[in-house]
Amino acid sequence: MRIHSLSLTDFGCWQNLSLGNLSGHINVLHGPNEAGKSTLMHFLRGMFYGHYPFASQVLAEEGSQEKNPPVGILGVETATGKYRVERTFSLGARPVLSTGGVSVESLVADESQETEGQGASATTLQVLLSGVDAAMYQNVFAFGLDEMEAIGVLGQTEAGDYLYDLSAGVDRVSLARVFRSLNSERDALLDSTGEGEIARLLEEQGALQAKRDEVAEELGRYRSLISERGRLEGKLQQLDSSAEEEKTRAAICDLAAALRPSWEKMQEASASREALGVIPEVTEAQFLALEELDTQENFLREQSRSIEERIAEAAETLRALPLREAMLRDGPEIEALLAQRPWIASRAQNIDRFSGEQSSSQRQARAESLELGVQVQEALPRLRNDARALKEARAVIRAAEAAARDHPLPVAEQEDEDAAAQLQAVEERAADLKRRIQLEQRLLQLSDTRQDLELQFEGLLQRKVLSVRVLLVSGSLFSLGVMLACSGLFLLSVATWGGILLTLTGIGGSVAGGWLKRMLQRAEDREWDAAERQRELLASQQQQAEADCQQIDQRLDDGRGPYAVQLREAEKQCATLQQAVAQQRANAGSREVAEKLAAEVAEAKAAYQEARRAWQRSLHAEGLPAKLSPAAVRRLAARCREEAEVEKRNAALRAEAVAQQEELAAIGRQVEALLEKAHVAAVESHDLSVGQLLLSKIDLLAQEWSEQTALFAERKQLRGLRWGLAREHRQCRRQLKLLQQRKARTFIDLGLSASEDLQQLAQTCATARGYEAEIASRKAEMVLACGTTCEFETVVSELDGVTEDQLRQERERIAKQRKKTGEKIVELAQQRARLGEQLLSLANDRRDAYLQLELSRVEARLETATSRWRDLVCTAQLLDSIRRCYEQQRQPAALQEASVYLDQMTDGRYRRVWTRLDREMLCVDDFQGRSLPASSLSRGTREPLMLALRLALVSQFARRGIRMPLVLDDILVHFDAERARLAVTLLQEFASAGGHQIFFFTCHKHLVTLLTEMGAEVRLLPETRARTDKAASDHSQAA
Amino acid sequence: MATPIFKCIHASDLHLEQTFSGMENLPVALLDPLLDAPYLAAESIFSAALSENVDCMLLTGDILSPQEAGPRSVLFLVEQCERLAQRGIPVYWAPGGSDPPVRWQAASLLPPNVHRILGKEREIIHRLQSGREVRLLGPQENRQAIRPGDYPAVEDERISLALGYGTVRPESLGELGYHYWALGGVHLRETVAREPTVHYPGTPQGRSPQETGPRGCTLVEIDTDGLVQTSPIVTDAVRWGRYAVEVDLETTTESLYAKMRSELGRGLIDAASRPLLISWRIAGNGPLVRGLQATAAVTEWLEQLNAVDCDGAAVWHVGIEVICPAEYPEDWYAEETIRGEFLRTLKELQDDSAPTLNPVEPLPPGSVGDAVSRRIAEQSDEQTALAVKRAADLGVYLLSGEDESSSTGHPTD
Repeated sequence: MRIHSLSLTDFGCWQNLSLGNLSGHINVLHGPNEAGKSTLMHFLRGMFYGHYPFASQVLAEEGSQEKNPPVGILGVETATGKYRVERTFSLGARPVLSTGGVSVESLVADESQETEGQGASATTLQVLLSGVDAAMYQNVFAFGLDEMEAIGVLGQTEAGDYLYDLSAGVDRVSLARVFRSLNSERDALLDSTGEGEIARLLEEQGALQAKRDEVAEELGRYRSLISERGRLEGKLQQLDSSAEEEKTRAAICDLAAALRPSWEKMQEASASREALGVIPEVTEAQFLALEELDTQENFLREQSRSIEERIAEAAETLRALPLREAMLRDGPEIEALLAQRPWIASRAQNIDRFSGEQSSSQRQARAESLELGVQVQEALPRLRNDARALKEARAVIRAAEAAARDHPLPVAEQEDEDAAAQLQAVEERAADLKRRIQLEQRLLQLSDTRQDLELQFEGLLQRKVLSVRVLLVSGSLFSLGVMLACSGLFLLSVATWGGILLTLTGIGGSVAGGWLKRMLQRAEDREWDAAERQRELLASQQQQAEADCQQIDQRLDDGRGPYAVQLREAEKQCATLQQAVAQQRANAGSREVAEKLAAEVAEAKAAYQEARRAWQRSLHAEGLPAKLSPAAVRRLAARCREEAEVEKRNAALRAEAVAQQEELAAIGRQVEALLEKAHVAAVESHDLSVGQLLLSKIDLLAQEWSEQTALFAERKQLRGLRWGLAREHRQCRRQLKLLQQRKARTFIDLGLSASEDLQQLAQTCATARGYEAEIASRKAEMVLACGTTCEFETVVSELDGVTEDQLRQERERIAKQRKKTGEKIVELAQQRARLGEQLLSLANDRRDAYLQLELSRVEARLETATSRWRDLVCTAQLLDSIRRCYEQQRQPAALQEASVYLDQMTDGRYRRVWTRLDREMLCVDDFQGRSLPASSLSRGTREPLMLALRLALVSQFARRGIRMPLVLDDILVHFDAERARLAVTLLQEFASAGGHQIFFFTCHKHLVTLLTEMGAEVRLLPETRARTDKAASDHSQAA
Repeated sequence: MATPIFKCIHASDLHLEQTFSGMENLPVALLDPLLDAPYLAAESIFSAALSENVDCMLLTGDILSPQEAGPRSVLFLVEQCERLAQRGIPVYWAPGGSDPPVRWQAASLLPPNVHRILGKEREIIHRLQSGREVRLLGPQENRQAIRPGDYPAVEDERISLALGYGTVRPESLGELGYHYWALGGVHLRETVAREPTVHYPGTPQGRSPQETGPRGCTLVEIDTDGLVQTSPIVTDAVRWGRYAVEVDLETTTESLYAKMRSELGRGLIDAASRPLLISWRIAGNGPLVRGLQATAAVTEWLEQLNAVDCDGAAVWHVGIEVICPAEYPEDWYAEETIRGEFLRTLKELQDDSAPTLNPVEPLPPGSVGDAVSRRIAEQSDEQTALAVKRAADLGVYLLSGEDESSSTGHPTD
């Protein structure tokens, strides 16, 4: 941007000022002090950024309300065109930066276009300023000596930052910014003075620890409380044991007082017992035992006497028994004989039966029977054949009769004879009916067909006359063909081949049309003929069918209803007749079989009669009755055989009976001998048989033997009784002897003489025992009263030798002691409870836990902060070597350029400007290579350095397309003549070579001279309002 | 395993004197739960002993440092021991590093069922109801490591348990014949060996971001054959969780937050309605990771995370650890930029060809500098290596020159 004109009204000391045709290079504005040079610089700043620095002065003046606001106009030129910037400054109480009150007007060719709206003007102005803000403009582009010094230390200004950030020109990041970021964060944690977050946290930690220690000390009382409570516990334990002892002692004394009466009675009983002296120690049990021995001895004596009497009685009874010793000796023989009695009785019975049944008539009949039997036996082989033939004939008759019963003769019916003829007639009628119905259906079909044919004929008749369409097609084709042929003939004269072709085509088309019509006509004719033939065929078929119908109708009777009904009835009748005919055929077969079987029966009967006659002849020849049947003959023969067998057996039995009779006789003799030995008289009877007599003797012997046996048993029982009584008597005597010995030993053991009075002794002992029981009872009573309180002996010691008064005094003393101990215990328990409450209170105090938690939080933060600080330091140390390399070899281009400018302005005395990237320190190398910090330079050297830096920055901005007018407000006043000359030369070169517009304000004529010599345009500033007023005032004062 | 004849609860490292640590910000709503958590966890141990009806309880060190503990801890321990005393359950206490006998003056308060076993009184014969005897042997001296020579070999058939504190080499314990080695001093539950069983139950309540996951004590059962079965009993009242999230170049703020929500959901299920304290570990590369290199970004992210309501669950996000890739792209080392120069310098440092870093050098003189110096000196080699890595990551982040605002965000965006 370049300013080519400016105009201002009521701005600071300037009431009106207009400067036009400003140079694009150096514009020197010369004026004395207070000529308004700095006001002009402020005007330019205010025009761009809206800052009016004189507002407070204006407001302080009288009548400021009526004053017009300052107005400024700039004509500027940029790469995009020319603009007119007009700003009306507000008279605010404070100098503020404002975007309001500005208008930017584009001046394109002849027409001017004002940007609409304040917002748009401000935006346009920002575009014109290329993003350079007010601070940047003040420090880099429009500055005086004050601003130059400010950047001289390169503090926390944006320009300084920018200067360092220029290192970004070689990378994506600025190493200086990285260092600044690291250092700022590290300093926030802990800076070089020991301040920062870590210090604060350490301080907080210390405070918390102190507070925690304080709380811990306060809570630490619990240890002393615990020990105090332990001490109290010990004391309480001691007192509890003492109280327990005293309680026990008091209880013993109370018990002793309560038991004193019992104790005295026990003492009296003891004295009485001692008065009885020494008493044999015979206990009650021992006395009882001695009495028991006496009782047992008497009992045994009595028992012994009783047993002796019973023994004598048994011996007497034994002697009175009527026993037969001889019979006793033959006892086994008698027993054996009696055992044979059933056998003897059986034999006697057999003998008696055989002897009674053998009469003569019986023998005669039996002989005859035997003879007949022999005859029959002999005739049986000869009769066997005839008997077999008779049996077979009878079997044949039975078989024939059974077959005849199975096939009875059927009953013949007269109606069945005509069934076949009726069936044939019905079948013929049914066939006629079926034929008639079929013909009727055929006629109906023919009629339908004929109707269809008629319709077909109508169609054919219609088609016989050709349709319009066919005629049109064929006619059109024909006509077209004729036309083409005619055309062809016409064209033959013009075009030979085309005419021929056309003619031929036309002929072909007409021929085709004719041929088509003819073909269609012929097809119709063929169809017509076929339909005609079919109609004739149908007519003949219909006539034939009608003739057949008439013929059938003649055979069928009319008036029976419809033919279909008649046909169903005929079919039913036919089925009935078919069944009847089949039954008739079956009956004929059965009748033939029955007749055949009847003939066979008759033949069998004849054969049987013949066989029977032969059998009768044979019987007669054998001398047997003719009426005997073969079965009767067999039964007779079997009976005869059985009779013979019985006779044989009877003969054997008779022989055996004789032998048995002899045996019985021998037994009878034995019985008689036994009876005689036993002196028993036998009974004699002649009516009885030998066997029965023998049996009566045996029975007598048995009766006698039975009586003797009973007597023997009684004697045996009596002997056993006597023997048992004797043994019991011996035992009784032995027990009595033992009892007497035991009694003697007891006396000896007790120290008693056999003559001592047991009853007196027992009475003395009982008295002594009474005393002892009382003593024991009293003692038990006292022991029971002692219970778990104390031992009996303890109470005895309290009673023995102690009077009642002494005991009472002891009890009173113990009660007092107990009271004292109880009070102490209560007091200590209360102390312990208080301690417990204090402990509980301390336990519920959570301040230490909260503080501990807070400390852990601070510790965690400290850990994190320390770790972060360490990370930052490590990162910075890692970057440090890179920084040194960059400081030596990769200084930003701006500083390199500034080095050139400084070298030029100091005539080679200072050759290099560079920065420390870690500390934001500007340094200068002199011609000897020494590095000096900028702050250590003299003002005369530092100001060239600052100017060089700004020129370098302006140059850097210009490289980035940012060009702003450079305003220098008398900045060379501290330069000596040589450096001023070099500086002016540098400025001239800078403006001309770089195309920078410079406004150089100065009040020094030598500088004006130098600049004039360099070819700069110098303007003398007009008189300002203040100077005019002052001149007028001076003039009036002079006047 | 056959029917156990001996059953006990084994616990250690209760550290009733310690509170939670490692949290830079304390959630006000969780202050009381955090303070009560160690006590609730310890109470759960004693309740488990009662509910399991054990034969005894084994405490193996670091139960309570009486010098550092307040009255609440001491009285709480006494009260819990009295609960067991009422049921006749003895407590066998082998002291550890923070509760050696010489420092324990409040022992007089403990009920008579508490037996501190060490030195001359280190052997105790515990008689079971069945008439069997169990032999318990404590350490000879209070050491920081288990010395097998301190424990004589078992010579009878009785069940023998050894109690100890500190580190151990399990292979040296096999020949001694003890059925169970009840050890303490390690905060993470661990069964070092199986034959014999050498076991650390760990601390019953995690107290720092490093002590993550469920914590508790161990139920020990021994059968007639001497077989040992250990069952964990979870007791922690507040659960610490550390969840890792991987990010890449494509990961956005929303997707990262979705991943964190997913991990958080799983953590809440594992925590089972306990208050959950979470440390995040975000690893990978991309703009998100680079953006989180700035402390302010991490702080802002944490604030936003803690402002989100997790359906009423008690959740507190403790911190975010950002892990950059271990290696940077090869072409970064070769490029002619400050970052390339920086990486090459870093490589030289890692190859020991460059001078080592001295983080103490720029410390200011005075007490603050000394304190920081001491803290740095106390850091381990591993922490030093991590510091170098973090410094490298920070340097690369600063020298990469990307727009920070595009890479940072917060969960509620």
